[in-house]
Amino acid sequence: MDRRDTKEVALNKQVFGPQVEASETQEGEMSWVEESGKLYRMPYKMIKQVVFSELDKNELKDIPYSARLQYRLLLMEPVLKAKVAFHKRFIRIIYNPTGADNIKPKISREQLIKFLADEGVHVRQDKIEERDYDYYKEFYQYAYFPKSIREAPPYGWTKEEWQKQKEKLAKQQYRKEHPTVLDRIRTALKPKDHATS
Amino acid sequence: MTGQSHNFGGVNEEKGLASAENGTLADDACGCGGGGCGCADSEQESGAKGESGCGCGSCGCDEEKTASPAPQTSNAGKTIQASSGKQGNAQAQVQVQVQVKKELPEEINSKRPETKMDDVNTSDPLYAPYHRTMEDMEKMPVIEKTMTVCPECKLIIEGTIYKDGDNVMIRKFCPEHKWTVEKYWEDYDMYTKMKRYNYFGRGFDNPNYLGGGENCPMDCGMCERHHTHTGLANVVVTNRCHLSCWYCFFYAKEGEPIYEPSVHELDKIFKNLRSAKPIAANALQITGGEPTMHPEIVEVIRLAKKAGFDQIQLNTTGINLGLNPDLAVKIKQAGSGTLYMSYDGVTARANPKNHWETPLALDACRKAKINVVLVPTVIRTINDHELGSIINFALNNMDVVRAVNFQPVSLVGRMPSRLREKQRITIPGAIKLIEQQTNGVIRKEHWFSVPYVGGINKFIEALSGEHKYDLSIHFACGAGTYLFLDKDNKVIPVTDFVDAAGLVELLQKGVDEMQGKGSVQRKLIAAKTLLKIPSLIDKQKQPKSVNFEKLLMSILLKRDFASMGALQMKSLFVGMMHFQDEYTYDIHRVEKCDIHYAQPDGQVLPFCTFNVFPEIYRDKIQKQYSIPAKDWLKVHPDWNYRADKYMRNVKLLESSEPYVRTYCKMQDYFAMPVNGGKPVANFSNEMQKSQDVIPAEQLLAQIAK
Repeated sequence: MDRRDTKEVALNKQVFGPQVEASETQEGEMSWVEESGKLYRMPYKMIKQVVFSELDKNELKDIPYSARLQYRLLLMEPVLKAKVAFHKRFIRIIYNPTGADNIKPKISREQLIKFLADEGVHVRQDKIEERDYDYYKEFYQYAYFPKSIREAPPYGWTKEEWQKQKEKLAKQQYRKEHPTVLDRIRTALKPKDHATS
Repeated sequence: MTGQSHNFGGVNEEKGLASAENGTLADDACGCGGGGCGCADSEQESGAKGESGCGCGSCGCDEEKTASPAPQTSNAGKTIQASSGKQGNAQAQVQVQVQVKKELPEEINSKRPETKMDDVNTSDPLYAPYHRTMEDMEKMPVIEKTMTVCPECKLIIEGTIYKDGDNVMIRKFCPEHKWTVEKYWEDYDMYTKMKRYNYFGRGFDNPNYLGGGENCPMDCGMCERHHTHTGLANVVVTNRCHLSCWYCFFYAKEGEPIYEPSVHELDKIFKNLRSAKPIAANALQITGGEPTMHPEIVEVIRLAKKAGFDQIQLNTTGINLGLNPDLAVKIKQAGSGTLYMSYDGVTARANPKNHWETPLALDACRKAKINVVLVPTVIRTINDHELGSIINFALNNMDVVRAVNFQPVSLVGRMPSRLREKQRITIPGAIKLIEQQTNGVIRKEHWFSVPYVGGINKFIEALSGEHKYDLSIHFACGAGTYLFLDKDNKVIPVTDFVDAAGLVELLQKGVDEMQGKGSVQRKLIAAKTLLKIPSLIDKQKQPKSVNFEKLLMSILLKRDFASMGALQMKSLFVGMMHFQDEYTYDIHRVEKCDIHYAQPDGQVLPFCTFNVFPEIYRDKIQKQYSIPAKDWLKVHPDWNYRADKYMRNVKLLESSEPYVRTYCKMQDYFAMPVNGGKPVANFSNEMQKSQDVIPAEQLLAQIAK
């Protein structure tokens, strides 16, 4: 367990000594990705996702206990994301596996299973699915470019009314972005607003 | 970063109580009071406790006693040495260091003031609600049920919000750690009044965190369950800070990894915030650490402006801007028009952080035409006696101060229960103190909860069909009012001349009528509604210098940011924002939060999960993207932790012209007959300490030397 308030974190040397030593010979520990000629820090490249399914509901107890188990999993630094789904009876963990190409703290699947066993959740060996997880493509890219999953109309408008209004607004927006000569004259003649912030 | 929270680290509850017998908290822990070291919980292996600090390296207490200014010899490293069986050596090293340390100046604000905890009178109405029997508590009327967390083990448990006399309390039971009782809101009447304006917002159309939030708040992000769009986006640009405040959890201590995203990375975060649907974030707060320590802060602001933010605030101590007024001008030119400046009190005692530099910072902002928001973190028994004085100070500087945003302390981290009882203050608690301290000029009925503004916003949306900024946060999170300073120096709260409740009812009626109507009919209904507005404004009581009707019409008709700005320019906004902690935690509040933190991995998190569970959100993610101190030093060979720290010359600052002008010649507006004629509580002009007043330019030149 690795937390800000434990002594180990103050200097990673005690726990992650060899990796820290190794990093001294490298040019910083980060790897980078390039997007449109710009570099972005990427602490992980290829990591692992493991799903333990068909867990015993009695062991997961209920949603609050599942949530706390998720919290405890997340306290471990090598665990990037965790999901303990009580109703669907699975645990999904995205973690930095032993042997990954980075110097961040690591954990093995066996250690995860042991941790869960210590927490009273025993996984079935035949219900373990593990795969490579591309941190950049699957996590980072989604967080930066999420898809729209719904469309909320403004207050006082039904969805149907809003659809019509939206088209009208889109036309107005287009006109704003591509003003005619008349629009330009109007803007120039319009008195300026107060200074704001 | 402004000290919104107050981190007590891991002070064990039982030990805390034991220490109360000894008189002070400092007896029981390492004495550092630092952030999150947990040193009271565990015996320090170095055996040098009390002599060398706790040795945890995260609370800063090593820094106090360490001589070596060179960051390559980490303090924490010494603890590890000691723990590996070299105790004798470690102690010897520490003793040598303590001797040398005496020559070093002390870091500013790094000492926690002592608070005596042994004088809590359990029959005092202030503390009594904490000390009832469970039987008595269960007899109290229940207001509502919510979900909360156990402060000890973070188990999600049911919380009962109930009425105890005038207080609204929350109680919760963890099967392992038993009962926790905490104040939720210190005025039942205000609670019911504020609750009237509560409503659910729309959240995100494109949530960037998949999941329904069933384990909320342990799988937090902008998920489908979140109800409010980003109202104010916080972006941390560095975790370096030039101060080492004892209560702050948000800066890199010596030897800790440095988090300082590049300009490109920050630009990406800004664009991410601007791509949120249906309402993109429009107000940005650039925070830290101390954001002005980012070497490219001006470029960062320029990129934020380019990304489309209308309001860019800089959350800072103001010290760097005060000492470098040219930087303030550059920052303004780049696009930041608001300084969100920590200011915990008018006196040096209440505000050791930036009391002496505030006059310089205000002058720099005057010159650069930057608006200032004073941000006092309110802690009962520490600075709660200065709330009226702070407002008076703001009125004295109304040419540059546009708002005071009080933040009742968020007691993050475990702490002894008696200390918690003494220091806890909620929004109504602070509002009542303001009423007492300002002769009743600013009374509790003048305040409205933040979602009140939603009523105005809904009307604008119903009329225009465009999505507008939606302040649909939980009613218990924030409150505010506007003050006008009239020509005759009369302080007039807006609700003295506007029927605010009537206004929002009128607008809501208009919204209901507009449903299902065509564009022309909507406009007619709007016109009919707007025509009734003048009847809600008492022109006799309205400040002579303001035409409020015109201002309000401008906001409703123009529907833009500039109109809102015009109101700000003519008034002083006084607000309250109470962030949660584990004791007051209410999941209903979190899922409506609109103050968000954008992280470098693309995630956006509500303030009260980001800061209340730092171990799984803030610290965890920032650590992933941080650079170990050693690597930082490789890239910045001239960098030095000690050199980052600001050391002040109090004598010099106190004899400067801006200081004398700001603190020795203040007006007490509340002592004027038009405002009741009774001095504001704890008001006094400071004595001018030196006859030789140093002009500002000379002072800056001397400091620069």
